[in-house]
Amino acid sequence: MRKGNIIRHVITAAIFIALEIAALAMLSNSGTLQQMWFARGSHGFKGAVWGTTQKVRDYFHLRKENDSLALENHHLRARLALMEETLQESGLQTPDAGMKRSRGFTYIPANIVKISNNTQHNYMIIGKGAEDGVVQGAGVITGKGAVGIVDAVSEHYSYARSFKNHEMSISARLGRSGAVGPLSWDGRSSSGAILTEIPHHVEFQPGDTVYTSGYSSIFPADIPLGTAGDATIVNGATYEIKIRLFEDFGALRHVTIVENLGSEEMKALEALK
Amino acid sequence: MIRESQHFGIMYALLVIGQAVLCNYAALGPYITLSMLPAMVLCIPTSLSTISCMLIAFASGLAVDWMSEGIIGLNAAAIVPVALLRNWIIKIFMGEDLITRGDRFTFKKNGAGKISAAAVTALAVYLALYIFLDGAGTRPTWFNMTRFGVSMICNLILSYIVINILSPDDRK
Repeated sequence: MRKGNIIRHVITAAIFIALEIAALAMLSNSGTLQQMWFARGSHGFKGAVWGTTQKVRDYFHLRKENDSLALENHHLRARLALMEETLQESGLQTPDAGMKRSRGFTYIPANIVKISNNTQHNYMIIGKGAEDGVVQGAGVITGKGAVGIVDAVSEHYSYARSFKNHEMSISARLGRSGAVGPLSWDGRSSSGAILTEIPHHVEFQPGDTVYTSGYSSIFPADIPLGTAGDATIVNGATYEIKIRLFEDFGALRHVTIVENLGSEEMKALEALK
Repeated sequence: MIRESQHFGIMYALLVIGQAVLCNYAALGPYITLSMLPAMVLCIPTSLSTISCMLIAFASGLAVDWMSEGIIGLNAAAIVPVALLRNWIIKIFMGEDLITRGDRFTFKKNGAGKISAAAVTALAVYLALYIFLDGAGTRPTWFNMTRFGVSMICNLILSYIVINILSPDDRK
């Protein structure tokens, strides 16, 4: 009985819809005003539907888009490094020739496949390994900072110590040509770091940008890392400056692995002394 | 019973023609839309199913549109929802018994108040759709509201006459 009622209601609704569609179709064909009105409504509806489906499609293509942008970024970075090298070799000045330039680096674009962010010894697993040319001791960077150092390499993956690790520090410069000191994670917040050993006489302003110094054999110079915040004087001799990092480690996905081609030579030279 | 339904059918057909005449010759200005269709659909015998009622309403709406040289489909589109809601309107205002018994309503049996409430509801559905579709988004809201209010009053009076014709009180 109940099933019969449901079927009857469905048939009634279907006939009602069919009759209304027929009436509205006749209406839109016989009245000019109605024809324009229906056409306008239909175009608006189609536009809204297409717009929404396009948005959904774009959302699902974001990952692909990100991958292609990361690859393009890598190519541009490599071309820029090559260009700077050529300019320096030919004696021409680059736009910021006053600074020490990074040279002799190779760049490998990669994706992070696993990352830990909530411990005191964070790490990341990168989806490129020895087969792709990754070597132990290579740096891991993004456009917003130096994020780690490769510690171990397998055939297809690399294990990198994250910057958010107590055992890691980066040589950083305060401003484009300022004082240099080690930068390490503050151990508390996701975007907090501390720049130490900055001499007391150095002048700086909160908001000054901190860059990689280029004095290490791992990272190229002038990668922006963060901005300076409050400072405290330690032992009456040096500043300890709070740094707000640019990189959001929670959203980290695309990275570039950098290898200094001269690092072995430098290490050998250090061993001789 | 057969004679009664034949009488209803003839009267209904004559009223459809009457409606077409009204549409063609009773031009009372832009604010008044005269229609007997909602009251006519409300008076279709309750023994007929909703589907039959919708088909009758659609055919009569289309006939009026065709005979009155108006916009084909306008009356048909506005009257079919009234037919769909007819049983519900009768149940709400006159009780379910009327439909269960397949009886018809009259002023004497059900009272002017209940019949007026049912007629107003049916007219509201019809006029809202008719004015909305006729205007096609080109007329201001105040115009549509005024047209709705004025037409409602005129049509309510017309509905009393139609209900008296199609559902007359029993004479003893």
